[in-house]
Amino acid sequence: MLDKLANLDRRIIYLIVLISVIVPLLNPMGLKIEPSESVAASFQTYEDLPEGALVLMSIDYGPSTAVELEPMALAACDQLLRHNQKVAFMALYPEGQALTNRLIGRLKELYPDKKYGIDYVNLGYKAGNEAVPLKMGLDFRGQFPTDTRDKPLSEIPMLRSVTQLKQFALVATYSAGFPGALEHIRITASEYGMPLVVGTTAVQTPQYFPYYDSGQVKGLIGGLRGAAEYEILTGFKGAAVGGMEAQSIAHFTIAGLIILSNILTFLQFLRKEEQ
Amino acid sequence: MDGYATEQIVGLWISGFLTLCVFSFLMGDNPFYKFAEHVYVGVSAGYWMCVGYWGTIRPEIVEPLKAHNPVALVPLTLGIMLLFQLNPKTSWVSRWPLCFLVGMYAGLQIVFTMDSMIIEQVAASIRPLLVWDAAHNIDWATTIVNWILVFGLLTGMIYFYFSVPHTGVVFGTGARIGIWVLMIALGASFGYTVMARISLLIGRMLFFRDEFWPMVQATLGGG
Repeated sequence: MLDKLANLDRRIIYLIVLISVIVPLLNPMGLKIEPSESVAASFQTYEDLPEGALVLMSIDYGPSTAVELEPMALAACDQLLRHNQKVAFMALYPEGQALTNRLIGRLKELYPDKKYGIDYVNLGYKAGNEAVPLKMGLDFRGQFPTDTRDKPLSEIPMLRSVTQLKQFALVATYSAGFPGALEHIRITASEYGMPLVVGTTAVQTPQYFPYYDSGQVKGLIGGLRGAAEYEILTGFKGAAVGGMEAQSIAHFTIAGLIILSNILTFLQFLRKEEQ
Repeated sequence: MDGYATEQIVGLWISGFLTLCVFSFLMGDNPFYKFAEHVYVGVSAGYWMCVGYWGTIRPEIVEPLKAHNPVALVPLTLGIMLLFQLNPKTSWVSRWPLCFLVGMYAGLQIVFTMDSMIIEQVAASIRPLLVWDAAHNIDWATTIVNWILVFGLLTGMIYFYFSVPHTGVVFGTGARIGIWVLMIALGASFGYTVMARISLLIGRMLFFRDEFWPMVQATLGGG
């Protein structure tokens, strides 16, 4: 029995993890989620913006990481539009432009009275990695002469007077890797002194805590957990809170399996010692 | 068809089918997984070619040249020189644009890395080891956190200092504690990685719950 359990077919473990994810998704339990300090700081940074403030939001993720980053970006957009602030989307990530269109599609459903060009605009993807935020600070209109509809910035009502990066009240990046948050931290925040909020995937979150701790980043939202905390703070009904329940149960299951496998290994060791 | 356009239905079925094909790898390598893998590679290559043209070549070379901007000839020439790498006899030509790329990136990285990742981070790690609150009492919570940060930083650095042997109280004990600090940091990082991987699974399950299944119900009348 001991050997059988110790050499359990890995497909059974996959199945157990799969069930632990599916069950909470189908039967939400309402687990309590407490917002952490760095997520609350992100929320407060958005809250402190004056009405009508311009925010530059960099959508630096692709479809594979959208499950973690899209809920936090959507909750932030909801918070901004609710307070009559304006969002200009850009992307350092090639897939970012398409995912911005998806985000805008959701915003249109949520806020049918908000108009493209007046409340939000898509400046699209720019190739060049570090060179993009660098040129943004030197010559914003040179970097983004038009939006994705080829309309010059001078003809877009919300950006008509914008010629410099400094005219934005805040920059936010929802980033899955390179290029993304690190480029914005190094150039947009450190070089040009822009206030920056960062949302990242869980894998990257530990990498960015030192920047939050040093004050280079105003707020940090990490992974699905961070997105769920953000939804709790904003009151936005998104996908992250439901997903976080599945995450918690899956973590319990994995932790349980790790403990069980350690116990089995220890028992096997004891049996060998006896023999 | 019940609120769904044909391209939406086809897209959702393809997405659902390919997700299951990829998941089938958990049962072992099989033709369905191979099919999904090849589709992914092919579509990615096509996508990146389009991104390369519409994101870089057209705005940075084609349009400036149309506007008679001669500066665009510089990246065009350097780009063409990179292609010389394809022939072993002329590959030496590609070293010049590569030198340009390496030099430019090194210059950018040195400036911005030095400022944001070294100077600002070092400044942030210089913390008072005794913190007082507004009522002039010791703020134990912040004091302990600052001690952990400074102590962890120093022991971690001692572990990576290889110019002297890791023996004695300072370097021997310091390096041993440094390993523990690193292990704790790596453990926390691994925890986040597990969370991210589970998130990917949750993402696909949410797709089936919120997008695929409602479409099936609407089109096949299953609900």
